[in-house]
Amino acid sequence: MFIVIPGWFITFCTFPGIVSHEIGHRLFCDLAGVPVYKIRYFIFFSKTAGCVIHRRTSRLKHVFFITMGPFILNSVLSFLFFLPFAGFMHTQIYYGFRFSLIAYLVLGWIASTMAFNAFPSNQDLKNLKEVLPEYANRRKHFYTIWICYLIFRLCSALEPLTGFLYALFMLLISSGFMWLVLF
Amino acid sequence: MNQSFNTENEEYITPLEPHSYPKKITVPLVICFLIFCYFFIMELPQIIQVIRLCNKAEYMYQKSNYTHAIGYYKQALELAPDSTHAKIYLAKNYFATRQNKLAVELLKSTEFQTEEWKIIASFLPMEYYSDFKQVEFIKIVQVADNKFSNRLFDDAIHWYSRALAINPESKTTKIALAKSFFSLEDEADQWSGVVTLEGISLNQSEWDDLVSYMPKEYHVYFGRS
Repeated sequence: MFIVIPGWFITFCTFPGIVSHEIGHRLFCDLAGVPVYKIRYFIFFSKTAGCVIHRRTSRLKHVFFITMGPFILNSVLSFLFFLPFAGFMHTQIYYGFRFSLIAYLVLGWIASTMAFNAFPSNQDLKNLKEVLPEYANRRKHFYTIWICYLIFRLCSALEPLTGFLYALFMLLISSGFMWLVLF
Repeated sequence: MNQSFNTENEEYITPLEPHSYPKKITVPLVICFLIFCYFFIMELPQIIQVIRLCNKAEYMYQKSNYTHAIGYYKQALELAPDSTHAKIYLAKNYFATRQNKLAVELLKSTEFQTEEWKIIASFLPMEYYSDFKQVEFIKIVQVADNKFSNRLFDDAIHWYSRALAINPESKTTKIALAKSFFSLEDEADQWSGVVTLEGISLNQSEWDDLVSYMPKEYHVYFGRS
């Protein structure tokens, strides 16, 4: 038996991750010096959850990092924001209930939405794919980026399953790190 | 999503200032960062200290140095007054040093989870079982489970019924009692098994566990065939 969850509902429940996804694009545009003309961090009840419109750049490095920006930023933030939540899970029996736990639970939810929305969207990957043929002569970068493209294309095709699994993976990593710190 | 575009009249479109974000973005980010910092600066060092004290106390207990163990657990409780872990093991050390009254008072003053009651049941002296219904219940269920695994189903029924007299809402005990009834040959006993399960909603794993004991003719009463 399958339960169909509407896409808008998933988008609505994971909106902090979408906002940080767009911030990821913008951050790497700014770092690469690519002008950003318009940014919508979150669009309610739309097929496009958010968007960043920036000047076209033909430098492969810039396109690659602008595309992968959300993956890098969301992964880092997700790892960090999961830490207090993981700490709470490991130490609840030692430390008992305290009100800050509610804040850690909220932070854990934000972290999971960030991991859930970490993968580049189809449009992001399309932008990368458009630029790739121009760099076919620079074999080393070309093949590395092609492999990255294919991996993320596969992850993107398997959404939301991959997003969910990646959130679990990030929780495990944070949890393992907290375990090492605490015990 | 990121979209790029070429424009011939780019000078008419003003780009956004780099690294400048609206307040609706920066304020929640700053709040998240503050919560993150609060955890690492204010709580984490204290948590680590409590865990270290509990570990030291556990080491002392293993060395039969109960007085030092009590001291460490008391220090842990000063830092974390709601620590159920420290309370349980402090009570264990009180029993080890024959300070039973203190131990009982400590255990009575706290609410524990089922798993924690199981730990308490492992060290609580028998004469205090009646003071703690949860422990009495756990011990009786343990006896009943033992009888059931030795295929002494009549005895298991007796002990499960006693456990249910203490905690009538225990679903797992009701299921175990029904399994004992179904394991008997007599039809009247098997029917008692059906009656025991009346009003209980069974999930798939519970049903899978039960179905191997329940004769087929009774499946219909549970909406399954």
